[in-house]
Amino acid sequence: MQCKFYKFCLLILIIPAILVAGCKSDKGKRSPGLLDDSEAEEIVDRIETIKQVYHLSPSPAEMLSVIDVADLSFDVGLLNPPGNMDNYLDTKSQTISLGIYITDLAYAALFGRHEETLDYLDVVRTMAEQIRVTGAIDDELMEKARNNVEYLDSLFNISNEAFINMLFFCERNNRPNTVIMLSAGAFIESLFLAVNLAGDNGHADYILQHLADQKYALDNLMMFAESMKVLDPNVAAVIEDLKPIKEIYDDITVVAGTTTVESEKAAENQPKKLVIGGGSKPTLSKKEFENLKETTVELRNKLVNN
Amino acid sequence: MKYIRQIQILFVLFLIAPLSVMAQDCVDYHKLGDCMMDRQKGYKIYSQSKSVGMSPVDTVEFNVIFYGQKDYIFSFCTHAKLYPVHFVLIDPDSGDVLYDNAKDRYIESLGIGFDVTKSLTIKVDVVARKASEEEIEQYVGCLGLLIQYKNYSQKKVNLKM
Repeated sequence: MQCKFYKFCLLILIIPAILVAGCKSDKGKRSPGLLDDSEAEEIVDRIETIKQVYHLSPSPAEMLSVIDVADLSFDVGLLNPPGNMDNYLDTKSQTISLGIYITDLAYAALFGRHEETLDYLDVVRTMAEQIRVTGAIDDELMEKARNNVEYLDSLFNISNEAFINMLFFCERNNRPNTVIMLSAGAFIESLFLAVNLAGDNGHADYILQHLADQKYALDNLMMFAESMKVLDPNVAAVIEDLKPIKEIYDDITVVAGTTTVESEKAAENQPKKLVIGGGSKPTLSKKEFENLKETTVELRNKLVNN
Repeated sequence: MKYIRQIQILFVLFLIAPLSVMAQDCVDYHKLGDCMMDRQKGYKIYSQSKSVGMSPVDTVEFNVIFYGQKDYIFSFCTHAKLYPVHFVLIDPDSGDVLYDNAKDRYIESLGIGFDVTKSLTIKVDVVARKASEEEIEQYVGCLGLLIQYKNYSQKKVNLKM
């Protein structure tokens, strides 16, 4: 009886100790991918002040939705066929392909293509499970998609929700390397779709500017990836894959300008409002566009054909 | 004897429950915390909304990309002891401070319209007015940044190159 009592006391002391230690170590465990280079120079200051830096990127649906597709036609030939899913066997190609398929899902949703949206949602769910990103697309989300096939906005939200769920899952399970590979696949596919949409149509100039603006997204993705490359050789390989595109973006002209901030009257029940305009602006010449298109198509086909 | 065992189990569960809550992550805090009180009809949640764990001695920087021709609403939320939240918007190209909410009584929500696509650094720390000296050193809570957006009702500038 006495022995049991001691065991009980020991249990009471040990369990909270483990949990509290877990909470503290979580702070120390902050992924190095979240920290920038300047931190290395502030090691002494770090004891008192911890600085976390997060380089964030838009979702594929948000990247694509900038393009007004009203006058454009859906081209299923641009997408990675669902049947290719079984060709990806290693973690890197599976994760990158998942990023590609999520973007194809967003593209189908953006054009309101019900059948393709459901097909790609299914592919994304299967591939996510293969790389053990579970629960991102559950039965409820699938059902929601089936029931909302007539509503464009709902399809867009569902494809976005699937992507955000995956990010949350990876963050909870300390898998920043998966986020990088996923984002790289999504970035390449959205770039691939955009360069192909910038054909001979009334939107060409607008899409060119959108493509130039992707410099910011690529810069953020590369900064995040660079900070993680020592932890995973697959991330280092992704950086190598993206390098030719990064070099094109590094060379494009960025027109300098002053950023302006103006106050604007806020609408009723809305917070104070500012309007930010001006500032530096990346621009893409026709020649640079052709170069970007060629490099993007080459890389995307290499990734898709594994 | 049976009752003692049941009391033991209940006691252990009683101890574990609050600590497990403490150990919970902050990943989707912006979808659960006070931030959601700012949800606006007609606005979508931006995927770059983010939540992190931080203490009053931490500084967090979010490098976020905002597409042009859209209205955004930034909402910050945290635990009661960590308020007010201090945030500064910085132009990463020039390093210029575009906005500092310390000059605006630490407002927690701000609407911003972006005429053109822009990358922005959002630097955040918490003032933790209600925290004691000891809590400032030790307290770790969640900080959420909820970003909502919607398209401009009509294009305001010519985007053609």
